[in-house]
Amino acid sequence: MHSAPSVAHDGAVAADLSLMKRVAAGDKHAQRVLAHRLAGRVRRISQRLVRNTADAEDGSQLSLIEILRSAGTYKDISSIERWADRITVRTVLRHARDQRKKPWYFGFVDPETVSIPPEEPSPSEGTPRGVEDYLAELPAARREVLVMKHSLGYTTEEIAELTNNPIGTVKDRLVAARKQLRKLIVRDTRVFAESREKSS
Amino acid sequence: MTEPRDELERWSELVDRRALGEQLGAEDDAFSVRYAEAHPECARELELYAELADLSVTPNEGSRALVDRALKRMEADEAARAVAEVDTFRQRKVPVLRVVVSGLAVAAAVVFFLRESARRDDGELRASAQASIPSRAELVYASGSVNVSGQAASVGHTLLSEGNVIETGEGTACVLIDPEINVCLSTHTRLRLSALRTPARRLELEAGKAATRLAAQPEGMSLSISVGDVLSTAVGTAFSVERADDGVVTTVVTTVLNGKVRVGRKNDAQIVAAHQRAAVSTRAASAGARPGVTSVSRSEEAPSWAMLGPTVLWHDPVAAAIDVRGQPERAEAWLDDQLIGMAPLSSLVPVGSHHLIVRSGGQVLLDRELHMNAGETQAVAYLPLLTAATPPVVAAAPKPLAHELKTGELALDAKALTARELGLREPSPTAAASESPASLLAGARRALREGRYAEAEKSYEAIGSAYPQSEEAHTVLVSLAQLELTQLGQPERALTRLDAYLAAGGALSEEARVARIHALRSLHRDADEALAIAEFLTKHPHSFQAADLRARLATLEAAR
Repeated sequence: MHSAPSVAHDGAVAADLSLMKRVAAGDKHAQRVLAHRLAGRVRRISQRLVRNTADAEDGSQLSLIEILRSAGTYKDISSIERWADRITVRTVLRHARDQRKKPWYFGFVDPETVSIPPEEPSPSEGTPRGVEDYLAELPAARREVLVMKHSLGYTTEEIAELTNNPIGTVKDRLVAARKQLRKLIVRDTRVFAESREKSS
Repeated sequence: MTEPRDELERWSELVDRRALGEQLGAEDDAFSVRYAEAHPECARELELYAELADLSVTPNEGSRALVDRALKRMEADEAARAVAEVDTFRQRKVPVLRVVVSGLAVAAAVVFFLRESARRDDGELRASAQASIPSRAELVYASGSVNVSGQAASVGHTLLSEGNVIETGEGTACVLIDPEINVCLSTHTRLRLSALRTPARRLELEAGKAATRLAAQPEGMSLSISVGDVLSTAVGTAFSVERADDGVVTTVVTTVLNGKVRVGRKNDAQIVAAHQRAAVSTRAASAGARPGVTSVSRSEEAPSWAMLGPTVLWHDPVAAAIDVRGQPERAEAWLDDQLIGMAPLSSLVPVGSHHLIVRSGGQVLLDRELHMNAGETQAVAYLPLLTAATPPVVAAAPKPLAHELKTGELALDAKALTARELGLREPSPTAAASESPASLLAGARRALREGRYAEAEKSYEAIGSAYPQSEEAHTVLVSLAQLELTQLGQPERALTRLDAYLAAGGALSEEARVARIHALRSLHRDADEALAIAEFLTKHPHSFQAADLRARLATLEAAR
């Protein structure tokens, strides 16, 4: 006999399966429901994986379309979110790499992506920064690995498979990304402490 | 007692190991929790990872707009598909005769219109095209020995013009020509920019091998690489041209990587498609002979693609330039885990943070984070690792010293020392009055890139003399010392600067300590070198140089 949480879980799984079947069958309302459920998450993952705002927005849109079109492949072995995450990661990375590979990609350049924070922030800027600011300072390969590990909880083996890289490369990049992030945090913490000292 | 620095490193190592999936022991676990609680920067790092793990988002304008765009795009795609299906269905139903008659009428109208407009506009278009063709060409990558019309060249400031000859010795180079033509030269190659201002751009391959990748060119424009009277012409594709001389006959081998290329003499050429190779002789006797065309495998194409490898570094027009040089030469430069060439190397690179590693003989000579801003050039110097077998770096005879201080006296208080005491020449009034520290620094870096070491030294010194209190004046002491050590044969002078720098400390302390060890070794001051290595190992126990320095220390101690 099922316990109460298990019944609730089974009910949710059944609802998800039914939703995905309707999406796969072309039900417009179901498509909209699924798109609204996943849009924020897809967008956040895309923005964290890719620094260029335009590429991140394009990647989000392509991912959402890919998710809606792939609904028929969904199996209830994982949540819809986890299933959609993998599609998002693959689609966004593929799109970003295609853009970078274009021999003459002189596309839209977001001024925000061009202005690089100074090496030493001034004390007036010494307020704690958010995770997106730190990600923006990492090279693409490191940022991708860091996001897949810490945002999506993938193992190094899964990241290696998703990025087509050897496991050793993934590990090196992850440690290098963490080290770089640590350096930035130490620097900011020092500046923040100094600015608080001055203001008090 | 454990040093605080060691504890931080232990904590960092533990949390990194955990991130890689390792299960920590109870003691290590307890230490990492305790340490993070007591240190705000560690607590902040853990907080950031928690923020990173949080993917929950409240629906907002952005996500709603995304849904609308995605659904609209899907609808549009479906509608387009439906229209295509209907068209296919209709086409099947239209009588064949009606299609033929309509088609012929349309074709006749199009031919008439094109001929008329071509006759009317041809002259004007040609004239305006001639006048408005952009002619900018720039050296964007140079690895190893690269000359432009006989002068040593580096990236970032070398604009090229018609008639210039780019020549590589034991090096490679890439040129970017407007609009959007990349040309990369292999080793021992000579390429003349014969015609840049005409719609039919022409580059003359006088020796070696060149590979090019160009975007679709504006109508009427093309690029040819010529060897004698044999031209390889494209309007938008990727291909390589190799010239092979056997003393009697010159054979031109064109390998097409993408698209199509017209290969042959002016009035007798043949279209060669992607993954094909054409071989043509330039000998007059062979005039009229068609190029021999064969298919090529991926591995045969690979060397040509590899020549174009560096072009990924300047896809983004928002670029900076990097200049890497030091001893030994031909060390590998790796940027963000990709091999970008052999030092000395200068190249455009994307702005942002990068991880630079310089390796030689399997050993890491430099491992540094770089932060590149748009338009700037960063010069990075590296030194050989100190091992028992490493010879001293001093190559040139020492110059007479411009200062009279003994090195030991300098460790007292760098801030109290005057410019003269630091071995800095008196400021030139003009330099002090007119140039900012940044422009002096840029001048020094430019001179360094171009191999004008004495001038680079002067510019560095001018910063210290004109702006003794500036941060740059302090930082350049390390650059100056490295320059004097590796290029100018002045280890004593370098030692003076390094002692001064280390007395006040700074972000380059690790580099300064390594250079100081080199200087002491060059001066054969073994006891001081051993002390310097011991100090380095205490301050930087986890440096990538630590293992080699430990070995060197053991050798020095054994020799006592």
